[in-house]
Amino acid sequence: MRKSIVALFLCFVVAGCSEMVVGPSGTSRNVDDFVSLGQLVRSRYPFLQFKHINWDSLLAVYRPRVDQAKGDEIYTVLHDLLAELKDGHIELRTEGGFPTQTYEWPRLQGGKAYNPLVVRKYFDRELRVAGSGNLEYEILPENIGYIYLAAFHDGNWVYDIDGILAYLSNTKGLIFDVRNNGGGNADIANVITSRFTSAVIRYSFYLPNGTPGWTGTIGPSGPNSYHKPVAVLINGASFSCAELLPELMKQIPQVTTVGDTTGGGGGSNDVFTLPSNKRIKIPTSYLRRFNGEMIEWNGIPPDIRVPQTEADVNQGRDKQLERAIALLR
Amino acid sequence: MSKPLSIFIAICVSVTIATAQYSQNAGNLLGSGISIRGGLGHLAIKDQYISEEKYSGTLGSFSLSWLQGDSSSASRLGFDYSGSSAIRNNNVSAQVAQAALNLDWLRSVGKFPLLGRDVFAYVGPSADCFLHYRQQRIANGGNASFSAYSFAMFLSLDVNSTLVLPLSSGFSAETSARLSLLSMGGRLADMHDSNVKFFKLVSVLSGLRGHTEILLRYDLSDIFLLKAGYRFEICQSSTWSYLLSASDNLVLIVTVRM
Repeated sequence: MRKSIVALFLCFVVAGCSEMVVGPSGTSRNVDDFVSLGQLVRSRYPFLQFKHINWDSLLAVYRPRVDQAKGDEIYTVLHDLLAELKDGHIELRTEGGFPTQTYEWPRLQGGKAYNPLVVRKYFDRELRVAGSGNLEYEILPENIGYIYLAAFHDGNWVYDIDGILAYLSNTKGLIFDVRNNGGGNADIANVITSRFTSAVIRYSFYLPNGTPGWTGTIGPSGPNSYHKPVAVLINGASFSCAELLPELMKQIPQVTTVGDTTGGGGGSNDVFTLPSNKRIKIPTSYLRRFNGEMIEWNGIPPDIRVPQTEADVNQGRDKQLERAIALLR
Repeated sequence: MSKPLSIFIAICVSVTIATAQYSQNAGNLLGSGISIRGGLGHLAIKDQYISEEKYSGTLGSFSLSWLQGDSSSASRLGFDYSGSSAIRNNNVSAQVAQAALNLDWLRSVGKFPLLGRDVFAYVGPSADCFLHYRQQRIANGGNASFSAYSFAMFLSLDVNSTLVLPLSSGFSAETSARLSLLSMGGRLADMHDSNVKFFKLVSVLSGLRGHTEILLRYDLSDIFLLKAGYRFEICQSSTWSYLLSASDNLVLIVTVRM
């Protein structure tokens, strides 16, 4: 009897049920993924020339690593290859869609010199939240309005801006803060700009061959426009649409940008699926500034540069906000 | 799930339900008291949220449970944790942590003969809360890090069964199984897909969690019980990105009778 039990027990252990149940890995598509990614970047990525990148040369350098990569080691190779493009917009996504960035733009470190809790010290009351949590606003003691825009997520939440502008209508100026905003949908920037502009503003996304593609047209719109002086706060962690918005707003005479140069993400992205079902998000068109300069890497410089360090914030000071208040006082 | 495993679990559950006539002292046969279980084993995972690649490696586990029984029934409250600091796929590794809180009710359904001895059978419903977390370690290119992770959870209504075969003085053998029937499942899914639902009701066909174990028990004294044996656990979900996790464990259980 005991021998039977011991034999049965050993059968289970020796069989390695877990390995048997889970089975082997799927068929490797590593080389297919690499080839597909190479073709996509070559044909769709708009900054190869601007960044002086010889893509085919890079592919040749990385090919041996691809050939040697077993299983999920390919993630490392594709990640490193995409990192060569030095583009904060680019994501490598797992087969289930988890996004991972391949590059951290240098000015992102400027985001450490911003703290929303320090901003609150300049108010004598709690900030109001609107726009599904994407907007904060209140009136500073100097009777200056303040709006913080946290993100450019899709949605109708942006139309809360109309109620906010009604609330701030009697202020003598407005601070519009897009620091530490990673961007999102350009439509959000269009709606917001339309509440401040008196004239029509047109801009284009350019295709990889340099010709204009999709064109945006922004005219005065909304029930409550704001035409008093506006300071737009920006920093190195303002990225993508958080760079488009200040660039659009700079076309409006009463708007001044204050802070530090934005991150430098000028691309507009598409997502492509690789043969293994991994995905990559890469820019396929791009924005230029109204003076023709590339936003990619260069960012949007402020009209009034106010250097701000993490130490300033740790000491409870927001010099950029202080400068904007002084400008509008 | 593989066919042999399905058959094995089905046999464990159905034999228990189908047999036996008499009530027995459940508290004594199942070992009332507080039990601590330690285990060491092997974990294999295929999680298509990350990739179709299989990851496997050593798994450590720990469990604390409390069982209280009377003449014909018992209830058991248990907390399980298992983890691995490095399951591997070639030169890529991931960290896994799994935790479960479960409540079992066991009712005697009698006994049946096996190899000339009586086998005592218990069966009942269970409630189970299971969490699975996997942190991927892939790539550190440029100055940004890749930190993909995967997550799954099940709040399940289960059926569980235990068969106890008293052997010679102080020794007995037991086998038990638990299988989820209906679960509220949660899973990290494609966060860029606005139509995706992170929580869904899943049946045994689309979201399975369960275990089976076979143990040899020795009554050290009136106070202490010792059990040692093999435990197999499985978690499978096809409702979202396919997940299949299975582990073999050698376990040692110490029970303090109360």
